[in-house]
Amino acid sequence: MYQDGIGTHNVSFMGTIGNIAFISAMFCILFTVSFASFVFLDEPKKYKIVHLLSIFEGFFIFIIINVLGGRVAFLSVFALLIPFIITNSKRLSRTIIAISSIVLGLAINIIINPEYHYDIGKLRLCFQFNGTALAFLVIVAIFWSLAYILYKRNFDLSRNKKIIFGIYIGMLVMVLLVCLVIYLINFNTGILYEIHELLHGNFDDDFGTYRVFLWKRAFLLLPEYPILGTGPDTFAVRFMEKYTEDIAALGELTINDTAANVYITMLINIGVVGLTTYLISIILQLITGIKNRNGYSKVLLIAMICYMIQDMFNLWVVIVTPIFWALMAIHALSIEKNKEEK
Amino acid sequence: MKKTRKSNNLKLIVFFAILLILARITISVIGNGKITGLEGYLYSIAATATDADATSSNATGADATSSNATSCNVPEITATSSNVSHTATNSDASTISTSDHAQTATNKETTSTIVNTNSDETEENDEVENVVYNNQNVTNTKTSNIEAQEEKEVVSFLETHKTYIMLIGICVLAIVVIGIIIMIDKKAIKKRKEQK
Repeated sequence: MYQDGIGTHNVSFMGTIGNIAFISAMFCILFTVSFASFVFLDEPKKYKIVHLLSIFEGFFIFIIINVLGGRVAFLSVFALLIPFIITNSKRLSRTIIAISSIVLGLAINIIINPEYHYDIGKLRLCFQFNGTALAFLVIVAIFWSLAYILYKRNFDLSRNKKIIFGIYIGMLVMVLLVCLVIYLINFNTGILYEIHELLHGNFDDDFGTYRVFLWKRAFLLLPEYPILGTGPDTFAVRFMEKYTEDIAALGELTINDTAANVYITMLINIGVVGLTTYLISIILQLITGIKNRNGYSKVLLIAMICYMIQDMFNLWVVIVTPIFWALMAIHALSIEKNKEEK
Repeated sequence: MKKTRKSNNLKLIVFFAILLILARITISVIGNGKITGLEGYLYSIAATATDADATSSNATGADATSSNATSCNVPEITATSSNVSHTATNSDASTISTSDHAQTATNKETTSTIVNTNSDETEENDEVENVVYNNQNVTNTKTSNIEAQEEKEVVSFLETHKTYIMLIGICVLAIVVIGIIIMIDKKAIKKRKEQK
């Protein structure tokens, strides 16, 4: 999606990956693997350190690029894992350490305070130390002490299905309560404002950085060719043609070549048949993965789920998607052993 | 082990055979060419689109990607930044509210590249002419973008104060929950000791 044209940030390459949305997609695989390995696997310390460094560095960059889709994916996966984390002292201890490294990243970002100066065309570090940075550092210290206390404990209720189910119910109730609060209170800013408006049925075009604009209109394209769609990569042709005026109103140079949602884009490009086939294949792999999970496959499965969630807000690009396919293949291979043993 | 492998392979072969047969039957029933009538597959839609107007043809393959976007004269792309809170304000919101909450400090001099999706002048026959035309046409818009970006002198990569307060609140909440878990575990340990 190129709101207001090619030439702005959306086609500028960052590193060797691409724009911030592509980096976010890549991070959803890489850092979920690091995070899940750090928390769930009992590996030697040297590997733990590598994973922790990866989490720290990755999230430090992630804080800066600030892609909402990636954040939603990470948070969703983290929410899914919470019951399995808080019921095991070792996992909880490691999770706290991982989160503290992210908080440390926030503090460091405030302290080094990078600023881009247009007048000289350079990035500068304008060091500062304020109350917020201090608060984050204090939180890191508290987190480390709590992690140490938990590391010494030895409880594991993660195999108790009743407790896990109870925690999920509790979380669901909490989510509903949060939704209720957001519904009642207008925070007037950011994502909370957008959720507030969406809960009131106001699907404004610019919500979700114009994703609502795309999704609303993309669904209207479906009835034209519902079964097989119009073929791979034809979204732009149809969308641009049908909504020329609306798109121009966003910015003269706007180009929309995907729906900023892989599943909706598939629906338009390859129709209900194509999307259903894809969904069946990934759902089957998820089910098989959950049934035959082992230590390593669990890590890969978590990364797959994270990527699938971020797909709801992103597009497939040649530099990242093959890694997802490779991930699925490695995952399939890792559960094959379990299947054979059974 | 070997048996299961063999049976798995056999299942796979049977599965693909069934798939191929089904595909063959589908092709026989629907027939070659009829698929266009049913769903208007890629080529028919692409054909109508290229005939129709400049928007669709420009926006996709040729112009947008190959010729314009990549091989243009962009002498100096200075930086890509995001997560931006503007120190100096900017009134031209439309140029800045791009996707993913992010902004870019762009080229000072851009003779680029961008496809004019809003172009009504569809009579242009030659693609190259189109590109030249678009480049000229776009310069004005780009210039206004650049001017707008030059207005904001400094871009910070920090979050807003509200977000930081919210994050601190979440951390405090997490500390309280973890504290409760440790307390519960402590009580459980005591109980176990008493029972022994």
